[in-house]
Amino acid sequence: MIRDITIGQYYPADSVLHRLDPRVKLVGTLTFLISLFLFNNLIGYVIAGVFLAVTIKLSRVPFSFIVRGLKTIIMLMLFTVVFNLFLTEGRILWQWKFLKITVEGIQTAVFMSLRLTFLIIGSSLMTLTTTPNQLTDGLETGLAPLKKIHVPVHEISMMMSIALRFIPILLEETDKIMKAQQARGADFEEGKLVERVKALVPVLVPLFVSAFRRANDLAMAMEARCYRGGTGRTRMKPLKYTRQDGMAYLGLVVYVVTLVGLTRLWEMLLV
Amino acid sequence: MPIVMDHVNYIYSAGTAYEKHALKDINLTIPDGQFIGLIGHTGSGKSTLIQHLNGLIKASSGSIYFNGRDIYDEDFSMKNLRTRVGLVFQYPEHQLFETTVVKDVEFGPKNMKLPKLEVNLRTFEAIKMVGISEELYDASPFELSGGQKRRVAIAGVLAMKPEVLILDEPTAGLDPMGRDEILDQIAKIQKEQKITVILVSHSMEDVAKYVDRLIVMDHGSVQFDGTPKEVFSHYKELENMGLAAPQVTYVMQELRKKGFPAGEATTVEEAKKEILGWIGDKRKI
Ligand SMILES: Nc1ncnc2c1ncn2[C@@H]1O[C@H](COP(=O)(O)OP(=O)(O)OP(=O)(O)O)[C@@H](O)[C@H]1O
Ligand SMILES: [Mg+2]
Repeated sequence: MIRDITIGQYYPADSVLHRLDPRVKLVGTLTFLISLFLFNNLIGYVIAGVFLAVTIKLSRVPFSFIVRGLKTIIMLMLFTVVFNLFLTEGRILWQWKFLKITVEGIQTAVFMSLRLTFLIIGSSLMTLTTTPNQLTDGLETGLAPLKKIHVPVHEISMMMSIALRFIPILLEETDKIMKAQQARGADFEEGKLVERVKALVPVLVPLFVSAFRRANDLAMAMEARCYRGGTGRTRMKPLKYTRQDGMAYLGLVVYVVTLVGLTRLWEMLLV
Repeated sequence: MPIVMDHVNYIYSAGTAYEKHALKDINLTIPDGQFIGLIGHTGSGKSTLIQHLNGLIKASSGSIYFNGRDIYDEDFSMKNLRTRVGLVFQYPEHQLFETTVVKDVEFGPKNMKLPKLEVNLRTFEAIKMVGISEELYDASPFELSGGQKRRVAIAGVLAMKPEVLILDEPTAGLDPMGRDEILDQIAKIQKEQKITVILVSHSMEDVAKYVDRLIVMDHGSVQFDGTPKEVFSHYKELENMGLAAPQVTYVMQELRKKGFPAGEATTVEEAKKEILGWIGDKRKI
Protein backbone atom coordinates (compact mmCIF):
# COMPACT_ATOMS: atom_id res chain seq x y z
CA MET A 1 0.00 0.00 0.00
CA ILE A 2 1.12 3.50 0.84
CA ARG A 3 4.28 2.13 2.40
CA ASP A 4 5.50 1.00 -0.98
CA ILE A 5 6.13 4.59 -1.99
CA THR A 6 9.87 4.93 -1.99
CA ILE A 7 11.48 8.32 -1.74
CA GLY A 8 15.24 8.30 -1.78
CA GLN A 9 15.19 4.78 -0.50
CA TYR A 10 18.20 3.35 1.26
CA TYR A 11 19.29 -0.22 0.62
CA PRO A 12 21.24 -1.61 3.56
CA ALA A 13 24.30 -3.61 2.50
CA ASP A 14 27.95 -3.82 3.37
CA SER A 15 29.92 -2.55 0.41
CA VAL A 16 32.76 -0.23 -0.47
CA LEU A 17 30.25 2.25 -1.80
CA HIS A 18 28.22 2.19 1.41
CA ARG A 19 31.33 2.89 3.45
CA LEU A 20 32.52 5.82 1.37
CA ASP A 21 32.42 9.28 2.86
CA PRO A 22 29.09 10.90 1.89
CA ARG A 23 30.99 13.92 0.55
CA VAL A 24 32.72 11.70 -1.97
CA LYS A 25 29.40 10.30 -3.06
CA LEU A 26 27.85 13.75 -3.35
CA VAL A 27 30.73 15.09 -5.42
CA GLY A 28 30.89 11.86 -7.39
CA THR A 29 27.21 11.88 -8.27
CA LEU A 30 27.32 15.52 -9.26
CA THR A 31 30.40 14.93 -11.41
CA PHE A 32 28.82 11.93 -13.06
CA LEU A 33 25.61 13.79 -13.83
CA ILE A 34 27.50 16.71 -15.34
CA SER A 35 29.83 14.40 -17.25
CA LEU A 36 26.82 12.95 -19.07
CA PHE A 37 26.41 16.25 -20.87
CA LEU A 38 30.01 16.51 -21.99
CA PHE A 39 29.74 14.24 -24.99
CA ASN A 40 27.40 13.05 -27.66
CA ASN A 41 28.94 10.03 -29.30
CA LEU A 42 29.05 6.30 -28.85
CA ILE A 43 32.40 6.01 -27.09
CA GLY A 44 31.22 8.46 -24.42
CA TYR A 45 28.19 6.32 -23.62
CA VAL A 46 30.35 3.23 -23.49
CA ILE A 47 32.73 4.81 -20.98
CA ALA A 48 29.93 6.23 -18.82
CA GLY A 49 28.16 2.87 -19.00
CA VAL A 50 31.24 0.97 -17.92
CA PHE A 51 31.83 3.40 -15.04
CA LEU A 52 28.22 3.00 -13.91
CA ALA A 53 28.35 -0.79 -14.22
CA VAL A 54 31.48 -0.94 -12.07
CA THR A 55 29.89 1.29 -9.43
CA ILE A 56 26.73 -0.82 -9.39
CA LYS A 57 28.84 -3.94 -8.99
CA LEU A 58 30.73 -2.32 -6.12
CA SER A 59 27.52 -1.21 -4.40
CA ARG A 60 26.20 -4.75 -3.95
CA VAL A 61 22.66 -3.46 -4.51
CA PRO A 62 20.69 -5.98 -6.60
CA PHE A 63 20.23 -4.73 -10.15
CA SER A 64 16.48 -5.38 -10.01
CA PHE A 65 16.27 -2.95 -7.10
CA ILE A 66 18.06 -0.23 -9.01
CA VAL A 67 15.94 -0.66 -12.10
CA ARG A 68 12.82 -0.17 -9.99
CA GLY A 69 13.62 3.52 -9.84
CA LEU A 70 13.27 3.69 -13.61
CA LYS A 71 9.58 2.81 -13.49
CA THR A 72 8.74 6.35 -12.46
CA ILE A 73 10.18 7.88 -15.62
CA ILE A 74 8.94 5.33 -18.14
CA MET A 75 6.35 7.75 -19.55
CA LEU A 76 8.89 10.54 -19.90
CA MET A 77 11.22 8.12 -21.58
CA LEU A 78 8.58 6.97 -24.10
CA PHE A 79 7.82 10.59 -24.99
CA THR A 80 11.45 11.41 -25.65
CA VAL A 81 11.93 8.29 -27.71
CA VAL A 82 8.80 8.83 -29.82
CA PHE A 83 9.47 12.52 -30.42
CA ASN A 84 13.08 12.04 -31.32
CA LEU A 85 12.37 9.01 -33.43
CA PHE A 86 9.77 10.59 -35.67
CA LEU A 87 10.64 14.24 -35.69
CA THR A 88 14.38 14.30 -36.34
CA GLU A 89 15.45 15.41 -39.81
CA GLY A 90 18.08 13.39 -41.70
CA ARG A 91 18.60 10.37 -43.91
CA ILE A 92 15.20 8.73 -44.24
CA LEU A 93 14.85 5.01 -43.54
CA TRP A 94 11.08 4.61 -43.54
CA GLN A 95 8.22 6.97 -44.27
CA TRP A 96 4.43 6.97 -43.94
CA LYS A 97 2.72 10.28 -44.77
CA PHE A 98 4.31 12.89 -42.52
CA LEU A 99 5.84 10.31 -40.18
CA LYS A 100 9.37 9.32 -40.95
CA ILE A 101 12.16 7.47 -39.22
CA THR A 102 15.67 8.69 -39.89
CA VAL A 103 19.08 7.32 -39.03
CA GLU A 104 19.74 10.43 -36.96
CA GLY A 105 16.35 10.01 -35.28
CA ILE A 106 17.17 6.49 -34.13
CA GLN A 107 20.53 7.66 -32.90
CA THR A 108 19.14 10.58 -30.88
CA ALA A 109 16.32 8.45 -29.46
CA VAL A 110 18.73 5.77 -28.28
CA PHE A 111 21.23 8.29 -26.91
CA MET A 112 18.58 10.34 -25.14
CA SER A 113 17.01 7.36 -23.42
CA LEU A 114 20.46 6.09 -22.45
CA ARG A 115 21.30 9.46 -20.98
CA LEU A 116 18.04 9.57 -19.02
CA THR A 117 18.59 6.04 -17.73
CA PHE A 118 22.14 6.90 -16.64
CA LEU A 119 20.91 10.07 -14.91
CA ILE A 120 18.29 8.24 -12.90
CA ILE A 121 20.45 5.24 -12.04
CA GLY A 122 23.38 7.46 -11.15
CA SER A 123 21.42 9.56 -8.70
CA SER A 124 19.43 6.68 -7.21
CA LEU A 125 22.68 4.83 -6.62
CA MET A 126 23.67 7.60 -4.23
CA THR A 127 20.45 7.47 -2.19
CA LEU A 128 20.49 3.68 -2.23
CA THR A 129 23.91 3.51 -0.62
CA THR A 130 23.77 6.54 1.67
CA THR A 131 21.46 6.92 4.65
CA PRO A 132 19.61 10.24 4.78
CA ASN A 133 21.58 11.13 7.88
CA GLN A 134 24.91 10.57 6.19
CA LEU A 135 23.68 12.58 3.26
CA THR A 136 22.80 15.62 5.34
CA ASP A 137 26.03 15.20 7.29
CA GLY A 138 27.91 15.25 4.04
CA LEU A 139 26.04 18.31 2.84
CA GLU A 140 26.64 20.15 6.07
CA THR A 141 30.35 19.46 6.13
CA GLY A 142 30.73 19.99 2.44
CA LEU A 143 28.94 23.32 2.49
CA ALA A 144 30.58 24.50 5.73
CA PRO A 145 32.63 27.20 3.95
CA LEU A 146 29.36 28.95 3.07
CA LYS A 147 28.93 29.76 6.77
CA LYS A 148 31.40 32.56 6.20
CA ILE A 149 28.86 34.35 4.07
CA HIS A 150 26.14 33.75 6.70
CA VAL A 151 24.33 30.87 5.06
CA PRO A 152 22.68 28.88 7.92
CA VAL A 153 24.19 25.61 6.73
CA HIS A 154 23.66 23.72 9.97
CA GLU A 155 20.04 24.76 10.32
CA ILE A 156 19.28 23.86 6.73
CA SER A 157 20.80 20.43 7.01
CA MET A 158 19.15 19.82 10.38
CA MET A 159 15.77 20.65 8.87
CA MET A 160 16.53 18.40 5.95
CA SER A 161 17.46 15.44 8.08
CA ILE A 162 14.40 15.86 10.30
CA ALA A 163 12.15 16.12 7.25
CA LEU A 164 13.71 13.02 5.72
CA ARG A 165 13.34 11.15 8.98
CA PHE A 166 9.67 12.10 9.21
CA ILE A 167 8.65 10.97 5.73
CA PRO A 168 8.52 7.25 6.52
CA ILE A 169 7.01 7.89 9.95
CA LEU A 170 4.20 9.97 8.52
CA LEU A 171 3.61 7.48 5.72
CA GLU A 172 3.26 4.71 8.26
CA GLU A 173 0.97 6.86 10.36
CA THR A 174 -1.21 7.60 7.32
CA ASP A 175 -1.45 3.90 6.65
CA LYS A 176 -2.58 3.18 10.22
CA ILE A 177 -5.10 6.02 10.27
CA MET A 178 -6.56 4.95 6.94
CA LYS A 179 -6.97 1.45 8.29
CA ALA A 180 -8.61 2.68 11.48
CA GLN A 181 -11.15 4.67 9.45
CA GLN A 182 -11.69 1.85 6.98
CA ALA A 183 -12.52 -0.32 9.99
CA ARG A 184 -15.36 2.13 10.61
CA GLY A 185 -16.64 1.81 7.08
CA ALA A 186 -14.77 4.70 5.46
CA ASP A 187 -14.31 4.23 1.73
CA PHE A 188 -11.36 5.76 -0.09
CA GLU A 189 -11.69 3.94 -3.38
CA GLU A 190 -15.22 4.55 -4.54
CA GLY A 191 -17.42 7.55 -5.10
CA LYS A 192 -17.27 10.79 -7.04
CA LEU A 193 -14.39 13.20 -6.77
CA VAL A 194 -16.13 15.37 -4.17
CA GLU A 195 -16.90 12.33 -2.04
CA ARG A 196 -13.35 11.10 -2.27
CA VAL A 197 -11.95 14.45 -1.22
CA LYS A 198 -14.41 14.49 1.67
CA ALA A 199 -13.31 11.00 2.63
CA LEU A 200 -9.83 12.38 3.24
CA VAL A 201 -10.92 14.58 6.14
CA PRO A 202 -11.04 11.70 8.65
CA VAL A 203 -7.48 10.86 7.62
CA LEU A 204 -5.99 14.33 7.46
CA VAL A 205 -7.26 15.54 10.82
CA PRO A 206 -5.65 12.80 12.92
CA LEU A 207 -2.56 13.00 10.70
CA PHE A 208 -2.08 16.72 11.30
CA VAL A 209 -2.82 16.38 14.98
CA SER A 210 -0.22 13.67 15.27
CA ALA A 211 2.34 15.52 13.11
CA PHE A 212 2.06 18.62 15.27
CA ARG A 213 2.28 16.55 18.42
CA ARG A 214 5.35 14.78 17.12
CA ALA A 215 6.99 18.03 16.09
CA ASN A 216 6.28 19.47 19.49
CA ASP A 217 7.62 16.41 21.28
CA LEU A 218 10.74 16.45 19.16
CA ALA A 219 11.38 20.12 19.83
CA MET A 220 10.99 19.51 23.56
CA ALA A 221 13.26 16.48 23.49
CA MET A 222 15.89 18.48 21.62
CA GLU A 223 15.68 21.36 24.06
CA ALA A 224 15.79 18.97 27.00
CA ARG A 225 19.11 17.79 25.61
CA CYS A 226 20.34 21.36 25.34
CA TYR A 227 20.18 21.74 21.58
CA ARG A 228 21.10 25.32 20.74
CA GLY A 229 21.67 25.32 17.00
CA GLY A 230 24.95 24.83 15.21
CA THR A 231 27.37 27.22 16.91
CA GLY A 232 30.07 25.40 18.85
CA ARG A 233 28.46 22.03 18.19
CA THR A 234 30.85 19.13 17.72
CA ARG A 235 30.13 15.73 16.27
CA MET A 236 30.26 12.31 17.77
CA LYS A 237 31.38 10.89 14.46
CA PRO A 238 33.13 13.65 12.54
CA LEU A 239 33.46 12.94 8.85
CA LYS A 240 37.03 12.00 8.03
CA TYR A 241 38.49 11.13 4.68
CA THR A 242 40.16 7.75 4.56
CA ARG A 243 42.43 6.15 1.99
CA GLN A 244 39.38 4.60 0.37
CA ASP A 245 37.91 8.06 -0.20
CA GLY A 246 41.15 9.22 -1.75
CA MET A 247 41.06 6.25 -4.11
CA ALA A 248 37.48 7.04 -4.98
CA TYR A 249 38.37 10.63 -5.84
CA LEU A 250 41.23 9.33 -7.93
CA GLY A 251 38.88 6.94 -9.73
CA LEU A 252 36.58 9.84 -10.41
CA VAL A 253 39.36 11.94 -11.90
CA VAL A 254 40.48 9.01 -14.05
CA TYR A 255 36.92 8.59 -15.25
CA VAL A 256 36.51 12.25 -16.23
CA VAL A 257 39.91 12.44 -17.94
CA THR A 258 39.31 9.22 -19.90
CA LEU A 259 35.87 10.36 -20.87
CA VAL A 260 36.88 13.80 -22.08
CA GLY A 261 40.09 12.57 -23.70
CA LEU A 262 38.61 9.63 -25.58
CA THR A 263 35.51 11.44 -26.75
CA ARG A 264 37.62 14.31 -28.13
CA LEU A 265 39.99 11.87 -29.81
CA TRP A 266 37.06 9.98 -31.33
CA GLU A 267 35.60 13.18 -32.75
CA MET A 268 38.94 14.24 -34.18
CA LEU A 269 39.39 10.87 -35.86
CA LEU A 270 35.91 10.93 -37.35
CA VAL A 271 36.25 14.40 -38.86
CA MET B 1 -20.86 -15.52 11.97
CA PRO B 2 -17.97 -17.95 12.20
CA ILE B 3 -14.62 -16.93 10.76
CA VAL B 4 -12.16 -19.52 9.48
CA MET B 5 -8.51 -18.87 8.72
CA ASP B 6 -7.03 -21.52 6.48
CA HIS B 7 -3.23 -21.74 6.10
CA VAL B 8 -2.81 -17.99 6.25
CA ASN B 9 0.65 -16.53 5.72
CA TYR B 10 1.57 -12.90 5.69
CA ILE B 11 4.83 -11.28 4.66
CA TYR B 12 5.47 -7.56 5.12
CA SER B 13 7.40 -5.77 2.34
CA ALA B 14 7.88 -8.98 0.40
CA GLY B 15 10.81 -8.92 -1.98
CA THR B 16 12.76 -6.16 -0.25
CA ALA B 17 15.56 -6.08 2.29
CA TYR B 18 12.97 -5.39 5.00
CA GLU B 19 11.01 -8.57 4.35
CA LYS B 20 9.26 -9.88 7.46
CA HIS B 21 7.34 -13.11 7.68
CA ALA B 22 4.79 -11.93 10.25
CA LEU B 23 2.26 -14.78 10.10
CA LYS B 24 3.19 -18.39 9.51
CA ASP B 25 0.55 -20.91 8.51
CA ILE B 26 -2.30 -19.77 10.73
CA ASN B 27 -5.29 -22.11 11.01
CA LEU B 28 -8.05 -20.90 13.29
CA THR B 29 -11.78 -21.23 13.61
CA ILE B 30 -13.63 -18.52 15.45
CA PRO B 31 -17.18 -19.65 16.24
CA ASP B 32 -20.06 -17.37 17.25
CA GLY B 33 -20.37 -15.95 20.73
CA GLN B 34 -16.92 -16.82 22.08
CA PHE B 35 -14.85 -14.49 24.22
CA ILE B 36 -11.33 -15.06 22.93
CA GLY B 37 -8.07 -13.77 24.32
CA LEU B 38 -5.06 -13.32 22.03
CA ILE B 39 -1.70 -13.02 23.73
CA GLY B 40 1.91 -13.04 22.62
CA HIS B 41 5.02 -10.99 23.13
CA THR B 42 5.69 -7.72 21.32
CA GLY B 43 6.03 -8.30 17.60
CA SER B 44 4.56 -11.81 17.64
CA GLY B 45 1.99 -10.88 15.00
CA LYS B 46 -1.19 -10.24 17.00
CA SER B 47 -2.08 -6.96 15.34
CA THR B 48 -1.26 -8.41 11.94
CA LEU B 49 -3.51 -11.38 12.58
CA ILE B 50 -6.56 -9.41 13.65
CA GLN B 51 -6.31 -7.05 10.69
CA HIS B 52 -6.79 -10.07 8.46
CA LEU B 53 -10.13 -10.81 10.06
CA ASN B 54 -11.80 -7.70 8.65
CA GLY B 55 -9.85 -7.66 5.43
CA LEU B 56 -7.62 -4.66 6.14
CA ILE B 57 -4.60 -6.78 5.28
CA LYS B 58 -4.75 -9.29 2.49
CA ALA B 59 -3.04 -12.58 3.25
CA SER B 60 0.07 -13.35 1.17
CA SER B 61 -1.27 -16.88 0.86
CA GLY B 62 -4.11 -18.90 2.33
CA SER B 63 -7.80 -18.09 2.62
CA ILE B 64 -10.22 -16.63 5.11
CA TYR B 65 -13.89 -17.53 5.22
CA PHE B 66 -16.55 -15.39 6.82
CA ASN B 67 -19.76 -17.28 7.31
CA GLY B 68 -18.56 -19.84 4.80
CA ARG B 69 -17.74 -17.31 2.07
CA ASP B 70 -14.23 -16.60 0.88
CA ILE B 71 -13.58 -12.95 1.71
CA TYR B 72 -11.11 -12.63 -1.17
CA ASP B 73 -13.83 -13.43 -3.73
CA GLU B 74 -14.33 -10.65 -6.29
CA ASP B 75 -17.97 -10.06 -5.36
CA PHE B 76 -17.44 -10.18 -1.61
CA SER B 77 -18.10 -6.77 -0.07
CA MET B 78 -15.20 -5.78 2.17
CA LYS B 79 -17.12 -2.73 3.37
CA ASN B 80 -19.89 -4.94 4.59
CA LEU B 81 -17.40 -7.25 6.28
CA ARG B 82 -15.80 -4.34 8.09
CA THR B 83 -19.08 -3.23 9.61
CA ARG B 84 -19.77 -6.76 10.80
CA VAL B 85 -16.30 -7.40 12.15
CA GLY B 86 -15.57 -4.30 14.21
CA LEU B 87 -11.94 -3.57 14.96
CA VAL B 88 -10.74 -1.09 17.56
CA PHE B 89 -7.10 -0.20 17.05
CA GLN B 90 -4.35 0.09 19.62
CA TYR B 91 -4.24 3.89 19.50
CA PRO B 92 -7.49 5.88 19.66
CA GLU B 93 -5.58 8.90 18.30
CA HIS B 94 -5.65 7.17 14.94
CA GLN B 95 -9.37 7.40 14.50
CA LEU B 96 -10.72 10.41 16.39
CA PHE B 97 -11.20 13.35 14.06
CA GLU B 98 -14.57 15.02 14.54
CA THR B 99 -15.36 18.16 16.49
CA THR B 100 -17.49 16.46 19.12
CA VAL B 101 -17.65 13.04 20.72
CA VAL B 102 -21.14 12.35 19.40
CA LYS B 103 -20.23 13.27 15.84
CA ASP B 104 -17.19 11.07 15.99
CA VAL B 105 -19.15 8.04 17.15
CA GLU B 106 -21.70 8.71 14.39
CA PHE B 107 -19.04 8.24 11.72
CA GLY B 108 -19.37 4.44 11.54
CA PRO B 109 -23.17 4.15 11.37
CA LYS B 110 -23.29 7.06 8.91
CA ASN B 111 -20.91 5.23 6.62
CA MET B 112 -23.32 2.32 6.72
CA LYS B 113 -25.92 4.67 5.16
CA LEU B 114 -28.47 3.95 7.90
CA PRO B 115 -31.50 6.22 8.37
CA LYS B 116 -30.86 9.25 10.56
CA LEU B 117 -32.98 8.01 13.44
CA GLU B 118 -31.17 4.69 13.53
CA VAL B 119 -27.81 6.48 13.47
CA ASN B 120 -28.77 8.61 16.47
CA LEU B 121 -30.15 5.64 18.33
CA ARG B 122 -27.04 3.54 17.85
CA THR B 123 -24.74 6.43 18.64
CA PHE B 124 -26.25 7.18 22.02
CA GLU B 125 -26.63 3.53 22.85
CA ALA B 126 -22.93 2.94 22.12
CA ILE B 127 -21.79 5.99 24.06
CA LYS B 128 -23.84 4.86 27.07
CA MET B 129 -22.47 1.34 26.83
CA VAL B 130 -18.88 2.46 27.22
CA GLY B 131 -19.75 4.72 30.14
CA ILE B 132 -19.06 8.20 28.80
CA SER B 133 -20.86 10.75 30.93
CA GLU B 134 -23.32 13.17 29.41
CA GLU B 135 -21.32 16.37 29.86
CA LEU B 136 -18.68 14.97 27.50
CA TYR B 137 -21.09 14.42 24.58
CA ASP B 138 -20.22 17.76 23.02
CA ALA B 139 -16.59 17.89 24.11
CA SER B 140 -13.86 17.71 21.49
CA PRO B 141 -12.38 14.20 21.36
CA PHE B 142 -8.93 15.78 21.48
CA GLU B 143 -9.56 17.28 24.91
CA LEU B 144 -10.35 13.95 26.54
CA SER B 145 -8.05 11.91 28.75
CA GLY B 146 -6.42 8.76 27.36
CA GLY B 147 -9.01 6.48 28.96
CA GLN B 148 -11.91 8.57 27.74
CA LYS B 149 -10.48 8.68 24.23
CA ARG B 150 -10.29 4.92 24.21
CA ARG B 151 -13.89 4.62 25.32
CA VAL B 152 -15.00 6.94 22.54
CA ALA B 153 -12.98 4.89 20.06
CA ILE B 154 -14.66 1.70 21.26
CA ALA B 155 -18.07 3.36 21.08
CA GLY B 156 -17.30 4.39 17.49
CA VAL B 157 -17.00 0.73 16.55
CA LEU B 158 -19.80 -0.55 18.79
CA ALA B 159 -22.19 1.88 17.11
CA MET B 160 -21.92 -0.23 13.96
CA LYS B 161 -23.31 -3.19 15.96
CA PRO B 162 -20.65 -5.62 14.80
CA GLU B 163 -21.18 -9.33 15.22
CA VAL B 164 -17.51 -9.76 16.01
CA LEU B 165 -15.73 -7.16 18.11
CA ILE B 166 -11.95 -7.12 18.06
CA LEU B 167 -10.04 -4.97 20.51
CA ASP B 168 -6.29 -4.40 20.16
CA GLU B 169 -4.96 -3.79 23.66
CA PRO B 170 -7.92 -1.74 24.82
CA THR B 171 -6.46 -1.29 28.29
CA ALA B 172 -2.92 -0.15 27.48
CA GLY B 173 -2.10 2.96 29.44
CA LEU B 174 -5.15 2.85 31.68
CA ASP B 175 -5.25 2.87 35.47
CA PRO B 176 -6.42 -0.38 37.14
CA MET B 177 -9.87 1.06 37.80
CA GLY B 178 -10.39 2.19 34.24
CA ARG B 179 -9.07 -1.11 32.98
CA ASP B 180 -11.53 -3.17 35.00
CA GLU B 181 -14.36 -0.85 34.06
CA ILE B 182 -13.73 -1.14 30.34
CA LEU B 183 -13.22 -4.90 30.43
CA ASP B 184 -16.32 -5.43 32.61
CA GLN B 185 -18.29 -3.39 30.15
CA ILE B 186 -16.99 -5.39 27.22
CA ALA B 187 -17.77 -8.67 29.00
CA LYS B 188 -21.27 -7.39 29.68
CA ILE B 189 -21.82 -6.37 26.08
CA GLN B 190 -20.51 -9.75 24.94
CA LYS B 191 -23.00 -11.60 27.15
CA GLU B 192 -25.97 -9.39 26.43
CA GLN B 193 -25.59 -9.15 22.69
CA LYS B 194 -24.07 -12.61 22.27
CA ILE B 195 -21.33 -11.27 20.03
CA THR B 196 -17.88 -12.72 19.53
CA VAL B 197 -15.13 -10.74 21.21
CA ILE B 198 -11.43 -11.05 20.50
CA LEU B 199 -9.29 -9.31 23.06
CA VAL B 200 -5.62 -8.70 22.37
CA SER B 201 -3.84 -8.19 25.64
CA HIS B 202 -0.52 -8.28 27.43
CA SER B 203 -2.11 -8.87 30.80
CA MET B 204 -2.44 -12.50 31.78
CA GLU B 205 -4.68 -11.56 34.71
CA ASP B 206 -7.11 -9.82 32.37
CA VAL B 207 -7.43 -12.63 29.89
CA ALA B 208 -7.66 -15.28 32.61
CA LYS B 209 -10.53 -13.43 34.20
CA TYR B 210 -12.66 -12.82 31.14
CA VAL B 211 -12.03 -15.15 28.23
CA ASP B 212 -13.37 -18.63 27.36
CA ARG B 213 -10.55 -19.40 24.99
CA LEU B 214 -6.96 -18.29 24.84
CA ILE B 215 -4.76 -18.18 21.76
CA VAL B 216 -1.02 -17.76 22.22
CA MET B 217 1.12 -16.40 19.41
CA ASP B 218 4.87 -16.70 19.17
CA HIS B 219 7.02 -15.51 16.28
CA GLY B 220 4.09 -15.42 13.89
CA SER B 221 2.55 -18.80 14.63
CA VAL B 222 -0.07 -20.09 17.02
CA GLN B 223 1.59 -21.96 19.87
CA PHE B 224 -1.33 -22.75 22.17
CA ASP B 225 -5.06 -22.63 21.73
CA GLY B 226 -7.42 -23.70 24.52
CA THR B 227 -9.13 -22.67 27.72
CA PRO B 228 -7.08 -20.39 29.98
CA LYS B 229 -6.59 -23.33 32.38
CA GLU B 230 -5.14 -25.56 29.68
CA VAL B 231 -2.92 -22.83 28.30
CA PHE B 232 -1.60 -21.64 31.65
CA SER B 233 -0.73 -25.19 32.66
CA HIS B 234 2.07 -24.75 30.10
CA TYR B 235 3.50 -21.87 32.11
CA LYS B 236 7.06 -23.15 31.61
CA GLU B 237 6.78 -22.87 27.83
CA LEU B 238 5.02 -19.54 28.18
CA GLU B 239 7.98 -18.23 30.15
CA ASN B 240 10.32 -19.32 27.41
CA MET B 241 8.28 -17.20 25.02
CA GLY B 242 8.68 -14.17 27.25
CA LEU B 243 5.19 -14.52 28.66
CA ALA B 244 3.97 -15.70 32.03
CA ALA B 245 0.94 -17.21 33.69
CA PRO B 246 -1.19 -15.17 36.11
CA GLN B 247 0.39 -14.69 39.54
CA VAL B 248 -2.09 -16.99 41.28
CA THR B 249 -1.05 -19.87 39.07
CA TYR B 250 2.41 -19.61 40.61
CA VAL B 251 0.99 -19.33 44.13
CA MET B 252 -0.99 -22.52 43.63
CA GLN B 253 2.10 -24.15 42.16
CA GLU B 254 4.13 -23.31 45.24
CA LEU B 255 1.39 -24.53 47.52
CA ARG B 256 1.31 -27.82 45.68
CA LYS B 257 5.06 -28.18 46.07
CA LYS B 258 4.65 -27.67 49.80
CA GLY B 259 2.25 -30.61 49.84
CA PHE B 260 -1.07 -28.83 49.93
CA PRO B 261 -3.81 -30.33 47.77
CA ALA B 262 -3.99 -27.19 45.61
CA GLY B 263 -5.55 -27.62 42.18
CA GLU B 264 -5.18 -25.44 39.12
CA ALA B 265 -6.45 -21.89 39.30
CA THR B 266 -6.01 -18.96 36.93
CA THR B 267 -7.95 -16.23 38.71
CA VAL B 268 -7.92 -15.03 42.30
CA GLU B 269 -11.59 -15.98 42.62
CA GLU B 270 -10.89 -19.59 41.63
CA ALA B 271 -7.92 -19.78 43.94
CA LYS B 272 -9.98 -18.47 46.81
CA LYS B 273 -12.65 -21.09 46.27
CA GLU B 274 -10.07 -23.81 45.93
CA ILE B 275 -8.19 -22.86 49.09
CA LEU B 276 -11.31 -22.27 51.15
CA GLY B 277 -12.46 -25.64 49.90
CA TRP B 278 -9.63 -27.66 51.35
CA ILE B 279 -9.29 -25.52 54.48
CA GLY B 280 -12.92 -26.38 55.11
CA ASP B 281 -12.19 -30.07 54.57
CA LYS B 282 -9.37 -30.04 57.09
CA ARG B 283 -11.59 -28.47 59.68
CA LYS B 284 -14.05 -31.29 59.17
CA ILE B 285 -11.31 -33.86 59.73
N1 LIG C 1 3.72 -2.10 8.53
C1 LIG C 1 4.70 -2.97 8.75
N2 LIG C 1 5.74 -3.12 7.88
C2 LIG C 1 6.71 -4.02 8.10
N3 LIG C 1 6.76 -4.82 9.16
C3 LIG C 1 5.78 -4.74 10.07
C4 LIG C 1 4.70 -3.81 9.91
N4 LIG C 1 3.86 -3.95 10.97
C5 LIG C 1 4.40 -4.91 11.73
N5 LIG C 1 5.54 -5.40 11.21
C6 LIG C 1 6.38 -6.47 11.76
O1 LIG C 1 5.60 -7.65 11.84
C7 LIG C 1 5.78 -8.30 13.08
C8 LIG C 1 4.45 -8.47 13.77
O2 LIG C 1 3.95 -7.21 14.13
P1 LIG C 1 2.59 -6.99 14.91
O3 LIG C 1 2.32 -5.53 14.92
O4 LIG C 1 1.55 -7.87 14.34
O5 LIG C 1 2.98 -7.47 16.37
P2 LIG C 1 2.11 -7.45 17.71
O6 LIG C 1 2.04 -8.84 18.19
O7 LIG C 1 0.83 -6.73 17.49
O8 LIG C 1 3.03 -6.62 18.69
P3 LIG C 1 2.63 -5.59 19.86
O9 LIG C 1 2.32 -6.40 21.04
O10 LIG C 1 3.89 -4.80 20.05
O11 LIG C 1 1.50 -4.75 19.36
C9 LIG C 1 6.77 -7.45 13.85
O12 LIG C 1 8.02 -8.07 13.78
C10 LIG C 1 6.80 -6.13 13.15
O13 LIG C 1 8.10 -5.60 13.18
MG1 LIG D 1 0.04 -4.86 18.17
